Amino acid sequence: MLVSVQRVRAPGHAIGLNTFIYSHGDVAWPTASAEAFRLSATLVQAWHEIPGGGNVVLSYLDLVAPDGTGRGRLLDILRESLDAITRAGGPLPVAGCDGLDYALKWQIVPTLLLQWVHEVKELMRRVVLP
Amino acid sequence: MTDAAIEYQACERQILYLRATGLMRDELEDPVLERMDWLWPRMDPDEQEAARARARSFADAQDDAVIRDRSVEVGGHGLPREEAA
Repeated sequence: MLVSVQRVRAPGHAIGLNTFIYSHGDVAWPTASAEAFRLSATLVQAWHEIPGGGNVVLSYLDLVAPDGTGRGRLLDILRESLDAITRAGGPLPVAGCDGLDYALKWQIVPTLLLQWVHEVKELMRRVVLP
Repeated sequence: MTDAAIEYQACERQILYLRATGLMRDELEDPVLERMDWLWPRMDPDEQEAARARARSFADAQDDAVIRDRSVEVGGHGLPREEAA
């Protein structure tokens, strides 16, 4: 599964968080978890606060894990990832090491960097509460 | 860190947030910039240098390409965003 959450700004300046859940289907999980971002995935659910298309993406978080990963495991993954991101002091290209059953990446526009802790927590909250 | 430096950083965050969200207006920005001017001489030289470095890094970062979202329908493929050309 791939969960993608992104904060977007519409041309009229409305801002909102959109959440997307994709399914990988019956595929083998790669040894290097970050490779899972390359797996084909089908969108199965979407929640929009702002209609998609042409908006500026202010921040986003992508989390990949095997299909069927439960909410409890997702919460553990988010806690582990937040710890890793906090230790690193900011945005990471990818959090998650080879052999793990997940990988996570997130980005934020430079002008919001000073608020990255608040932002990454908001994005993570939407992973489990879209 | 001096109280002035702490408040200066809060002003920076306010300005950057307004710019990132597209809510920037002169009537919102001017009082914050005036406050930052008042705070500046009350900061230590090291704090002033750190503030200059932050300003330079954010100015450089403005040149980064903007990412825009894309519409994805249920049953479709691909991430809901694309890099700007």
